[in-house]
Amino acid sequence: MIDFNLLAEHREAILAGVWMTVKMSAGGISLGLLLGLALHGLRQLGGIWLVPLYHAYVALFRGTPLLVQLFLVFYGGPYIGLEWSAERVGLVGLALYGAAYFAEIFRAGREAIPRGQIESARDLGLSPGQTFRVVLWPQMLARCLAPLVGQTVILVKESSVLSIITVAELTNVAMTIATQSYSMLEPYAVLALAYWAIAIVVAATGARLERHFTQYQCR
Amino acid sequence: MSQPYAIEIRNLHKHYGAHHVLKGIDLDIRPGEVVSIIGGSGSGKSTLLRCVNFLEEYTGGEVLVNGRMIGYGSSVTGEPYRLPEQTIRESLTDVCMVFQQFNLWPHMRVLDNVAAPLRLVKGVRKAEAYERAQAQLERVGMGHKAASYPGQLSGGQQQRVAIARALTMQPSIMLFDEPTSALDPELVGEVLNVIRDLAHAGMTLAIVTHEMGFAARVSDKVVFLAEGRIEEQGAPRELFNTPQSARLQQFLTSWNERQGSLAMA
Amino acid sequence: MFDFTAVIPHLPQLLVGLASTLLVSLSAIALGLVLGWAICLGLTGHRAWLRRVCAVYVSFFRGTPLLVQLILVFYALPAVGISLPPLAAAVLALTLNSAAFQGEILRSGFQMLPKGQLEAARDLGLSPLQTLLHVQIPQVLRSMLPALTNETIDIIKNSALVSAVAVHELMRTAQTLASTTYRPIEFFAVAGLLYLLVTLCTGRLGSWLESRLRTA
Repeated sequence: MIDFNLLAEHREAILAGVWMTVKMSAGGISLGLLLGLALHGLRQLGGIWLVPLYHAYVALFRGTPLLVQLFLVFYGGPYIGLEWSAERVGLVGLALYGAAYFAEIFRAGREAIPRGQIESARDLGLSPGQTFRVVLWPQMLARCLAPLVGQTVILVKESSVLSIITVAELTNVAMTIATQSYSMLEPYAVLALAYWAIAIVVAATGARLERHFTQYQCR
Repeated sequence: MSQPYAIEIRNLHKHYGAHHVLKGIDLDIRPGEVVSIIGGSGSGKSTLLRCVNFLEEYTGGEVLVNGRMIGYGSSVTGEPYRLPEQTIRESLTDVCMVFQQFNLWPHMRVLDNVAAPLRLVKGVRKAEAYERAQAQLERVGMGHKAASYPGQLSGGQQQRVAIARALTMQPSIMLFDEPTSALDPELVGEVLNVIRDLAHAGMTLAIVTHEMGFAARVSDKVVFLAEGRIEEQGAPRELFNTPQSARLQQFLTSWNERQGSLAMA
Repeated sequence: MFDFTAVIPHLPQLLVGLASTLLVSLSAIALGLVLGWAICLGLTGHRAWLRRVCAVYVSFFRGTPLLVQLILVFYALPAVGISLPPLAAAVLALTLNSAAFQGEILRSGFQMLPKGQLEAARDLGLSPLQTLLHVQIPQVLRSMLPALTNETIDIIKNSALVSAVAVHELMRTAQTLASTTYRPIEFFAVAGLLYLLVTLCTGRLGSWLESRLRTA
């Protein structure tokens, strides 16, 4: 019943789709991490402007569907002179969306560190920069790692939404093959299995990293 | 260099919003003097100590360490202004604090906890920093735990490491903010012994504590704080044996009763 | 440049879309809770094979994109002879997805209960059912509330994907209007605001319930 020849036939298209998914997710996640860290930094600077602005950003990007955000830029963009390719919209959209989640993960990690540790650093004469680099960052990394990995898996999955704005990633390729060949089962089954495998690999890698970074807690 | 006072506190005030915590404190501590600060909870004793190393920004009066004003400078017109963070840090290199909650950094080994500030703040090279850190750990009897993480140590051991970490910075003044309050009773002694040794070595110490017996034994002067004011101060023998104010009498009576009930139990 | 007044005549359509978004999402959350409960029982039960099956179920539905799950229900199920009307298919896909997440939320809620409580309940003579109803469930519900709020917000947001497979909810309505009026910015912005409104209200409602349960 299941015709695997179909997959062999479209091997190249499928591989190209996988590659596009990897590119979009990896790019979007890396950019999102950097942007999330920057957002966290701005919030730490504080002030009557930055803190509400931060919360507005987080509420906006976490409170609306990624699809709406993508459509606004992809279909609305040309009306305001923003003629981006689907790939660029997808990459930037994924990064902006992910950044809101990443920033909140960093915030939670930072807030979990007792204030006294910062006080003792200051008392011993460490500068704020040194305190962040030596005292806060390593602990934030350890505390944030599990949620960061979770969010990474979520964003890899969310990258499938880019298919709707015509980015030729894995989901998009599978839909094309399905429509062309009139066989719905094989392409979609393989599609699901591929994402499942990616999610399992990312989660397992994350668990290993976490064990590495939290050695000091569990002994 | 030689100042008559290590710490001078003049008419010190601290407000938290509308809450007036310190209401005009005057206190001098000479070099080599050991001063214990006692008082009930909420009397402002920890706040007083934290104003000295500017973990709290005081809102009136002045604090001088080795003759240098902490936290604020005065402009040409005499208006006080807050000094830049770096200047404040530099003026406090001679003061180190030991906290109630130890505040070690849990992700670093004991030796790194002690050596890191030396390397970061004083730019001491790695090998030398480790050597000096190890020496201070030996001094507090923690040399054998250099490779452990803070989480693996008892509270008393962690506090001794925290003291070694402060000592490594070679301060002339040490502040102790209830150093034994977070410890199990059987671990208090080992920490007090280390502090006593520092007192005998001639270091300037300001100690906020609930350990009256210890305060009586090591202090040159005891200060009793109540509701943000110094109610009474003097040599420990006079203060504990012949308290003048009603507040101090009451404070000592209730403390004795608590000790008594502990002894019964 | 932008003309948001162009949206006004179409507001009723958008609100009908919003209503079906809420219908789909809330049905999925409610049905997902029931199925999630069953999965939680399976995950924590005594039968090894059932634990396995439930674990694979959770892993699959949490490890694959919702869009792919929707596509499977919409296109692959008919290929093996199961055809559902679009709305039912959408609710089914979202339910299957949400059940995996809610099953995990419930399981961790039960795991966090101190074992001593169960021992105390047994010691006092409560039956297992009484223990479940009076000791475990109230606490689990309370502790899972923040996660459940998040899951509800996620499902509302994710239900926008249903538009890709032809259910006329909010996103789809906005899409149609955007392309017929050539005003994508206005319509997608308003759709976004409606989603934001609903998710913010859901978040608030969750915090309110949480604080009420805490004081109760």
